[in-house]
Amino acid sequence: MAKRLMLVVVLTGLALVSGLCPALAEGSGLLYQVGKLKPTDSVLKVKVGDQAPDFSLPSLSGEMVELGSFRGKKNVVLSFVPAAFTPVCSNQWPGYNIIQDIFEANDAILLGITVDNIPSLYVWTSRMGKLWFPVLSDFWPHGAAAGKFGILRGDGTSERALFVIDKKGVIRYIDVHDINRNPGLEALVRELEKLD
Amino acid sequence: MKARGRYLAGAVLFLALGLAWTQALASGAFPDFKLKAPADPDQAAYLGLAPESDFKLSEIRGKAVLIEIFSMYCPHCQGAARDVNRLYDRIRNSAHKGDLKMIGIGAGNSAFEVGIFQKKFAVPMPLLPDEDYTIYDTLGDIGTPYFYLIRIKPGGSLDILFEHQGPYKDEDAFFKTIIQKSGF
Repeated sequence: MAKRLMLVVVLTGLALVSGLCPALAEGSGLLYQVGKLKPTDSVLKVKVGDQAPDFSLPSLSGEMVELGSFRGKKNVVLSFVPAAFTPVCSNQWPGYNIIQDIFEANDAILLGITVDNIPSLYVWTSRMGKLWFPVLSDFWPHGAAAGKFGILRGDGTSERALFVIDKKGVIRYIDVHDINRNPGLEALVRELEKLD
Repeated sequence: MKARGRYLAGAVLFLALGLAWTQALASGAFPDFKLKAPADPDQAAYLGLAPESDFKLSEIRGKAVLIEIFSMYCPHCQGAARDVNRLYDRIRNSAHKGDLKMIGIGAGNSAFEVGIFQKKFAVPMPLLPDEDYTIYDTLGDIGTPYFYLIRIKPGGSLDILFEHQGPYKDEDAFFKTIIQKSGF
């Protein structure tokens, strides 16, 4: 009885301290537990109303994806997540994966970006099921795209950040979120619904 | 100063409640969490509750409750959703439909996010949000989906009859286990 109580207390404490996200806790041995990190660690270089800086990055499908190629055609959501194989990041995109209809209804595309290389992204995202959106590697030159937006952290990872960019290439929404927490869907969907 | 006192009192109450729940879990009892009933009148009626009313698990009309702890962000939960729907239908079409109820609790999910999951996978059972992880954190380091079969005892306390982590592979065996463990 005392041992079980101790076990529950310890496990509860660990969950609280690690910020372990429940979604992939099963098999969490495959995730690197980062502990609690400084919420943000960079200085934004863009603001709402600015033209989004362009970039071209390799995608998992092998094609180069250029942000500017969507201008005049699609609204774009950029979802930067800090690193593959970490708890919160591993839960964020599977949530976006079940709201493709909301993106389509608002004529928007989602681009998922990390600073990891393509092989790492391939293995990591294969555990999320089939993703409907392009996953881009900002690995080399390391974090160049993240750097243009001012969201490259001191340790070489990116912030957990969302940018909503309209068809004119103008930034309409920025959320540089506490890296330890999932940004949630509500605010993003609300912003998508404001777009033309 | 008064506000600070109220804040401190609230914090102490929160910690005391958390400790009590943790102790209950350690003894094989399940904490009698407080939740908000579904807005959908049919789902609320299924649980014997008024729509959007605050309730405790022990107030659910039934003798046992199968609780799925899930997250809309969890690919395992997404993958298991149709199986869980079938299980719910099977229980609702069984002789035990009045005694055995099913709910889902969305760990870290807002009402909006739970609603997205419900719509996407056409989930018929009531899904309730645990937006700030209050319930999830009390339950400990569990992987989702996680199933608890809970008995509601006549006095209102809750016992854990059965636990299962992860999607179940054999739907028939899982259903039979739930019925057998419920002790009807």
